[in-house]
Amino acid sequence: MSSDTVPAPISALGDHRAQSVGFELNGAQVEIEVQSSDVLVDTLRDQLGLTGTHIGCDTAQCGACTIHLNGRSVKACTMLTAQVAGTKVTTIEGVSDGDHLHPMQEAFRNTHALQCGFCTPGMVMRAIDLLDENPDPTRDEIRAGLNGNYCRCTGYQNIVSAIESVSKRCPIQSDMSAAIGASPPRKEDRRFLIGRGKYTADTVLPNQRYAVVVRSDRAHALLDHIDMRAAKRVPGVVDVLTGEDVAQDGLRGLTSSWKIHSRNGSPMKAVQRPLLAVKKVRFVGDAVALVIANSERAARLAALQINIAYSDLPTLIDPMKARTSKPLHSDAPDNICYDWAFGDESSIDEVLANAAHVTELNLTNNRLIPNALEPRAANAMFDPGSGKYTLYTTSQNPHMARKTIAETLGLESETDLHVISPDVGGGFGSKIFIYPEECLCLWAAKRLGVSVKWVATRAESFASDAHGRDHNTNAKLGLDEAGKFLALKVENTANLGAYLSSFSTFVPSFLYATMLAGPYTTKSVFCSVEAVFTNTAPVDAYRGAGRPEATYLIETMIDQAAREIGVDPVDLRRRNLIPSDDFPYMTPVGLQYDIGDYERHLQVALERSTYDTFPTRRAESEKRGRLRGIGVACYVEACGIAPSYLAGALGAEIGLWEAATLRFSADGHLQILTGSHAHGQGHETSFAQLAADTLGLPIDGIDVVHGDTERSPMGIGTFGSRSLVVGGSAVVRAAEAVIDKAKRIAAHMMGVDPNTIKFEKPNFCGPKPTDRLSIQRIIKAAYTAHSLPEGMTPGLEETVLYDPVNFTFPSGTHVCEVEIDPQTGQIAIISFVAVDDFGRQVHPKIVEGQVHGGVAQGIGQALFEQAEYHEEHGALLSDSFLRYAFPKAHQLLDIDVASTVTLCPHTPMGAKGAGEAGAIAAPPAVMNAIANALGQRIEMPAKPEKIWELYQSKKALDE
Amino acid sequence: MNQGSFVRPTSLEDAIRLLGQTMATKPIAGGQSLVPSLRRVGNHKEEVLVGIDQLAPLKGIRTVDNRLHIGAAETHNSISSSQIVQSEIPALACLAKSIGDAQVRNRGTLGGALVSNFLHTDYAAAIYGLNSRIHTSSRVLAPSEFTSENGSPKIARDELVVSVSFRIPSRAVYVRLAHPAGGYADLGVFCAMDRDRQIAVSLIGSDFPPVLLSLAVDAALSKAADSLHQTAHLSAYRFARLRGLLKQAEAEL
Repeated sequence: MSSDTVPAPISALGDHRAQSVGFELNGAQVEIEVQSSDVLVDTLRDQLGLTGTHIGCDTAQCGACTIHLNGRSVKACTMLTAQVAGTKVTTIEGVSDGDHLHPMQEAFRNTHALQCGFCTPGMVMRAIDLLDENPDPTRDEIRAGLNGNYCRCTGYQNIVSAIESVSKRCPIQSDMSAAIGASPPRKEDRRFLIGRGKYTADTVLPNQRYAVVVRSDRAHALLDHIDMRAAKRVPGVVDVLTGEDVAQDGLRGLTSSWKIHSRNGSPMKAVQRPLLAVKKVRFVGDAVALVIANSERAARLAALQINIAYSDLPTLIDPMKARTSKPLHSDAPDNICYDWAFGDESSIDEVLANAAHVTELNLTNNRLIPNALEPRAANAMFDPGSGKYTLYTTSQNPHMARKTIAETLGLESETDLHVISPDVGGGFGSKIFIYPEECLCLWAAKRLGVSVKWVATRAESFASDAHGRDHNTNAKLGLDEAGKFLALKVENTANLGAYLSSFSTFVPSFLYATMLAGPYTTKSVFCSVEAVFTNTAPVDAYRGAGRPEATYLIETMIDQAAREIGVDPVDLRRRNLIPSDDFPYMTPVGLQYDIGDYERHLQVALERSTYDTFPTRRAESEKRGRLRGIGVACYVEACGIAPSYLAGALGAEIGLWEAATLRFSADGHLQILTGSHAHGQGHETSFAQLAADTLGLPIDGIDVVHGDTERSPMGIGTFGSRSLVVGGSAVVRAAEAVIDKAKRIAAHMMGVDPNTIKFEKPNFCGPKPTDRLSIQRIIKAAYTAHSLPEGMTPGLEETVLYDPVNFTFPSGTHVCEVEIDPQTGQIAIISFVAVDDFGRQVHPKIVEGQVHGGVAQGIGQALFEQAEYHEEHGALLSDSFLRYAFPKAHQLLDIDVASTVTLCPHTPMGAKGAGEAGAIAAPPAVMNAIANALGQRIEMPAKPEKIWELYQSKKALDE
Repeated sequence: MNQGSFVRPTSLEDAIRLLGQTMATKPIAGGQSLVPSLRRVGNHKEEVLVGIDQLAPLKGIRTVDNRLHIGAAETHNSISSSQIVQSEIPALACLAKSIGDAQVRNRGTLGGALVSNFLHTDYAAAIYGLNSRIHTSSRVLAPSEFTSENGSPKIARDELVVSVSFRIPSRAVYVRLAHPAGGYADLGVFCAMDRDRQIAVSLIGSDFPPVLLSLAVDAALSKAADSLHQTAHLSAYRFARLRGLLKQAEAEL
């Protein structure tokens, strides 16, 4: 280029300044027309259809869009497309060599270094470049080299192992077997690794338009006027809709589907959340208007042009001030949703009054923001011909989404809505709930006759995803002379935020109080919960949902009691653990634990953490001026969030079974259609394993179909560590039904009594050695139907809706060891041991991944995470990855994962559920270790300044 | 919709001429701050983005008269991996390696860091500590002359940062405290020792402008923090951390 290529002054240029950009893309030369301000990540995704490059944030931090530019990893959200002219760009789609995965992709698959797959493309691109820079890194160097790539699922441990295995040229082999208990490569991984996962944001529908939500920047205000004139004039804008339009069209608001009653018998205040604010906004982030335009950019520009006049009202952030503050909802004049209680308060008070020792604590369970790496999204269309709606959405439970949204839109039947929840990039609870946006997209799609897509920015995720935890609790634990727990009294204030999210009312009440016995023989428990409204984002279930809060309370109380009465905290636990021969064990809080061996996992955890020799390590740390602490947390949790009869008794509107259909095609392939949904959990593999193992089939010929209300049988979805235990049990039961029918066909073909047929996987054998029919022969016979037993319908397809008889009760012990530098307050986690009893593990590497990820989130809660609102004006202060810290690779460590096994007596495989354990046990293990080091407890998150300040005041006292 | 254009002039003169043509121009090098903000706001004004990352005068790392000159368009990665930087001022290589993450270091440039966030960039610590000069297309500026009170660079519309020249010390150390979420330097300390054993200490922080202290070698470095304590109103905790960093820097120097 010479100076004569310098363009003419701007005034001489036309309005449409597209320019042509040529570059090498994945090995081929491309020439495309772009606008100067087009950003590479958008060009790759929207113009070139390479949707493997993902968008997880708006601040160039998460690394999901990492690509190679001339062989070096860069973030595609930080480059103008025009800047890549003449360069060589490689995206995840260009990494594998035809059908052959790149060694890094292979290693990710074999080490199980991915779960939801959303961060995976960027992670793989970075990993390849990392080894290019440093071919022989240590694990710590790998961790440091990943600080620009966020993963919320894996805890990074297996990612580090994958990269290490490539650098050491010693590939890790997966199990070849697909039997229950083996860990074959996951069937879903290939598409994620080559960038061909299909997430909601990747979908493009006919007549696609784009929606942007205009959100309140006020915490509590009257909505005086919305001036949309300028916005509507922005070129490309289709319409701007407000709460008045929603009301005119008669749409309902959203509320919680679990009805809780206060202790005086009155029903909870089931306040409605309008889809768009009407007359009033109640938190920063409340949806006020919806802009629909031909492009996301036009919609965003128009959104900036909307002027909203507010009259501010007093802001309520602190839940402890709820009663005395200006009400958010006229239905709830004291800002109380319910005042619920469980147990007999007066008898508990009497026991406490007579106890040899009472430990009392006030503690908080910090408010968290889930931050699944894939932001929430919805893409909706309406077909005037059939009168039916289609919704692609980031839901953990598409059938439940269908039900609630159909009610909200006022549809005649939920079958008028087809919900597809394709690949979903992590959920952790936050994608269970129904939010206004997906309803709005459907409504706008019909109203405007176009398809409407909305994708949250990360800033919107922070502001409007349901947050988690946020309890303020006073608790008293009474002990007798021998240190036995007599009574636990808990008075809890739960912050529900501004509105009632779908499960919100259930989490701090039943899911919390019923776990307050923990794994201990505590004789009586009383719990009261005041659930309050504040001018903050709605709070709902987040990984563990009630059980982490209960476990944190119990385990913190025990260590506090141990310090007060001067016994070892492990000893105090041992005096109170439910003995293994006391099962089934009826707790004072309404649950019947079916099985467990708590002493055993405690023992294994103590051995693996070398608890006995801790004093030596502490002394060594002391010599270096460091404070060392060790913390133990035992837990039991209730998983499955079923059976239905219990759910009904606890206020659920729905049954909580799960469905599976096993459908053979006439050519012998098996489809498993499940109501469970996977967004990282690997059901396409573990559910296939269940069927393969039961039927004696290779896993390769089995496809798992989920996330589609018109393909799968009605199901309830994925939450509460329920998929494998409830959804997986449905698969096993359906496989058994298949075997049953096949036996009858085999008997008919052999001309023998069906009762004489034995199933020797995968053959059906009659009394004579020659009576041997493979399942493939049976399938063929079933579909040709030329000769079937009398009265039998053709085909081989079985559907089972499985409703367990009880919750399942995983338990475990986690031990954490920390070292603290009192001069700086910095905490180093030295070791973390997780020993869990999940019953039978179908795919142990998937289970291990759940533990890694759960513990990482638990460590995040203990050390880093805190959603913070400005006390006066109510702005969310922790509103981006720059201000909300959750653990990155270099802030975590390799944890030691082990298991003990007692088989669940009532699920077909004896499995119990593993998704939430890490997030339940890790916070108290870490915080007990810190308290052990400091000699006193501090609140989560244990930021260095808290520790430093504590140490300073101690020092001042000493002097 | 109004859209600007992206141009990539081949000479510094052309770039300057372009930038001077109209108010609606903006230089872009690595784009690490600019592009995400353009994308986030969605409000692309009519402007010409002038790509300057490949301009030869803005490239190169060399020593001249005991000063290390680094072109403004050199990336953090090229600075941290430069043999010359590593041998002349290893602390500066180390400093560049601590910025952002690998992807950011592969694109982000020295000049970009200076114009987008000079007062709080890691480089400010070295620039102050090594009495550096910022060479623009028309002037040579001392660190204190580079920004106005509010931190925005005092650079004319048609002026570009071309290079930074760092005085080569006999020894230097950079230590920092990373913010747990953002990873940026919450606090940073750069210590440099001259051949005449004079020590210069510069302090940076995410919420105060750089502070330069010149001390004789036998003066306790930690005294440096005290003056900052009074001017920057640090919390007691951050003040303690700053003292700790100073001690660490002193020990490593």
